[in-house]
Amino acid sequence: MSWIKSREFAIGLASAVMVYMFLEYFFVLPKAAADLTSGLKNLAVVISAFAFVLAALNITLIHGRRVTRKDKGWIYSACLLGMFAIMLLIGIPFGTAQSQYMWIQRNVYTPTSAAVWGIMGFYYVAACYSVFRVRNVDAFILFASGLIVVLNNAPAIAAFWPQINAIAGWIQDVPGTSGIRGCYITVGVGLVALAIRVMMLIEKQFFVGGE
Amino acid sequence: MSEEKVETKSLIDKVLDLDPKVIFILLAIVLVVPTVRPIGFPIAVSPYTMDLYNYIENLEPGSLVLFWNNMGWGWWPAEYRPATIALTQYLIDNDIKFISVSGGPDDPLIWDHIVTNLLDLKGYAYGVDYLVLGYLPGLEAAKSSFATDIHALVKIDYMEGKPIDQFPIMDGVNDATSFDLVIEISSTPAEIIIRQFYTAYDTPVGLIGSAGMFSDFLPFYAANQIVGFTCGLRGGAEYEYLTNRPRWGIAALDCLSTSHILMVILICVSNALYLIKKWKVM
Amino acid sequence: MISTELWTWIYAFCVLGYWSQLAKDNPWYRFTEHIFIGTAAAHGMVMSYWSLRGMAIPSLMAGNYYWVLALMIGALMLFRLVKEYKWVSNWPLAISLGVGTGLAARGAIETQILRQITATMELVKIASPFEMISNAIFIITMICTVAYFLYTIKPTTGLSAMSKIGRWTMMSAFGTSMAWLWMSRLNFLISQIQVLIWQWLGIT
Repeated sequence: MSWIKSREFAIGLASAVMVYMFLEYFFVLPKAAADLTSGLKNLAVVISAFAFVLAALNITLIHGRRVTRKDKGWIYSACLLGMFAIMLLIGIPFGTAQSQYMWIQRNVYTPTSAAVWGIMGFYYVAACYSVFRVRNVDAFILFASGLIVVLNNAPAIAAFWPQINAIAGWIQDVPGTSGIRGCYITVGVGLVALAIRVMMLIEKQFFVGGE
Repeated sequence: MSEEKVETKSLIDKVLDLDPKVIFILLAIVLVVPTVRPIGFPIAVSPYTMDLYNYIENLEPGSLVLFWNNMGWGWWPAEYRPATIALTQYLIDNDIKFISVSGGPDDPLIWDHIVTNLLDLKGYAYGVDYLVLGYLPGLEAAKSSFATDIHALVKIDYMEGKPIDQFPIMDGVNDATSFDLVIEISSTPAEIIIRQFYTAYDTPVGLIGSAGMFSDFLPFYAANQIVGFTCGLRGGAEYEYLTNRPRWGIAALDCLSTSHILMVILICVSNALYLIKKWKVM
Repeated sequence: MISTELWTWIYAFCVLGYWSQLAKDNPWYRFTEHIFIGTAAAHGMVMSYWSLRGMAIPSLMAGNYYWVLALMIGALMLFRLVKEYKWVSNWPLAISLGVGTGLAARGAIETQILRQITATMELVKIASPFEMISNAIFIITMICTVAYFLYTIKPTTGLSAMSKIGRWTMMSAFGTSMAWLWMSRLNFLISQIQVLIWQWLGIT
């Protein structure tokens, strides 16, 4: 029974499910097939929910170990676990509509979450200055198109130089769109190639090896 | 005793190696000043926002719109709030019904906050004119399952925890074809909702995305796979301007201008000095 | 006038605490960062619980016992935390991968390949001279961009030239994308600074 623990079994299972998803899309199958499809999709939704639970438990295990061993920075891990416990103790029995839960969400989670992304604004602007140098033709094209779009994105500049709208619009609509469209077509082909690799039992990287 | 060679940096090198903290302070100044003393620059509306606005304007009263959300509390005030509130208020003003479903864990709470605190509901009744459904994890599988058979996946609503069959707005609403427009408010790849709603069921799709998603939306807009889109604070400001409800987006335009002007100056100065240095070496 | 509301001060404490990292790493920043992670992890878990409960319990009460099997299979994911039984988590992962890849790939053929190519070919039309030139540039640059990704074909002079044009086109597209990405990050900054100045410091 060691084959059931193997990565090959898992990839075979993934392949079978994927082949079925293709068949039911491109062919007319009996009504029972519709129930199976619905069941599989709902099952994928349930698995995604458990993936969130797994991620949360993993974080608590890592930081729990840090606290029990009193590693460097363990006091911060203790704060993390404390906050985790408070949110769980309010959220799971009483629901997320509870005022205390909403209060923590809006006054602790929201500002820190926004600050995490906002700090990137500082780093991006600093990077503009120190890293964004025109060293070759490719960098010059990147620089030129980026600069024109940045100028267009500032309403003040468009107010004094209305033509920038047309210039930036052309850059966005012609080379901008054609480049991304080319990437999308390639990504689409790559996605089909990944599907074929899964069908042919080649794609094993997502699974852990068994005994 | 050997002579110690002291290397002195040229002025150009000193300016090119500027401490990032100086740039942080400059950026803070150009953001704080217009926040304290607004200037009031005008705004030009992009064709992408205009097309979304025009499509919604042509919807009949009583139409049903689906909002598919994956915003997050951190991204909500900066990227999504202006456009979402302006658009939703416009739907209410024009008697268009809406249902909200969430692909992210924060979004049911955000919609609770929206309908409770941020909208003028004008007599809109919950369950009759609008409905807030809960969180559905799983990006593509959730969208596909919802688009195929809503009642097989979603049993209860978020706000009241009641079976969705009890709400009049859900009468006859079974799958993607029941909606006149689907608006995705998120930063997840646009092709997912297009695949599961537009390609599979021909349901029109509009997008409210973060500013960083702009380039990703362009090919779908050019191929007429989406009716239109807005991006970020600027797109929200444009929608506020079109619906004549200036709020957060319009208020942020001055800061957008000054910060972008600073970026342009920094990029140009840095590259000019770099090229001068290179020329001197040559 | 400066705010006297507790929630505004906590808001400002969290934002400025995280941004204090810009000066240097410090306990204030560390504390804020860990609080954020704890809140985010817990919230994900709480919402997943209520989501599963909302889907499964009404179905079970209606006699649809499929959800018992679904919850059992989903729970197998948690074996990833147990070293000896890590392999058990491969099964739900396999189902999720099969469903996700199947849904994505079958839709990608029409959405990302056929429709995009069709839309490009629709640009071959009679229009104003400027529009026709723009459309020609669009078609040529798009083909060159796809040619850039042909790694399995030996590069001839023609293919190398097409790859170069494709690379330049992508540089232009990435420049546009980069400009909007910068705006996105500045948007976060702007909204936080507005809250700090208008609501915390009370300067309007």
